[in-house]
Amino acid sequence: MDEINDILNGFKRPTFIASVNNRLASHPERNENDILKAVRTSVVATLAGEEPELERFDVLTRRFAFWFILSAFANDSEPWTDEPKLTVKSAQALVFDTPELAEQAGAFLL
Amino acid sequence: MSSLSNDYAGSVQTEQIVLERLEKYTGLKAIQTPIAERIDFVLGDAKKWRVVGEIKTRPRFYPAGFFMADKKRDVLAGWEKICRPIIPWFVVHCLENGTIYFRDVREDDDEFEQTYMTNPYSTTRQSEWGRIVPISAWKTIEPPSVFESVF
Repeated sequence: MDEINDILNGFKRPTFIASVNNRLASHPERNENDILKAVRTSVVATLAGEEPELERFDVLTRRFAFWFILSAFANDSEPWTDEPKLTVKSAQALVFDTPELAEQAGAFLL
Repeated sequence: MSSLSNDYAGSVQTEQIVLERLEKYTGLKAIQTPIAERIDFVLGDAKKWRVVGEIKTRPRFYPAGFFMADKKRDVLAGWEKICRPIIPWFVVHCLENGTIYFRDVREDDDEFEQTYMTNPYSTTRQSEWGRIVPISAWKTIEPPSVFESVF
């Protein structure tokens, strides 16, 4: 978990995103299905203006999902770049228990 | 309302009416999407959102069909991939005949001619690529009858 946190703290450096993704891809506790579910839950609820129910996802899964969204955004990937507010708010919702990460995500809108 | 092109100035006022008719047609709840600029609504409920869509208002009926911008189709298709399973709808509200036309943007439209369209309602000169989708290719929601609208 500490390693994940260190990596997440570096998400503002897009040049490292590819290498980070390579490292995360082989993480032993990575659950691809749950990560996608968490991403979708957060995005669609945020889109509808609702509070997403993300407590059912464990903290590691939510951080993978957070990274999934923000790394795509930092790489100028569609559709994320089409809706910056939606993207950042969806990412922030995933780290509701880590205000410092949510704040870092908010920097993308400045 | 979308910030993309081809918006009719009166569309904001009619968007809510369109959503009410979509609710009645689908039996789902419609929510305008306050945070998004390029997506107008979702249909469903808090447990499962089923449709994501964009509404365009056209004051006149065009017998040849309605224009669907490539960029708009790509945006909706992109969010469909992220929010799957969800259906991406492009919705046209025709004021002249009161009919709502809608289409799943994932449907193949390669057979329709690609064209470069200038937005006649924009104060700035906006043009974009897209396709004229024939009337027969849209699903429709007919306008409510006078009886229904009064009683």
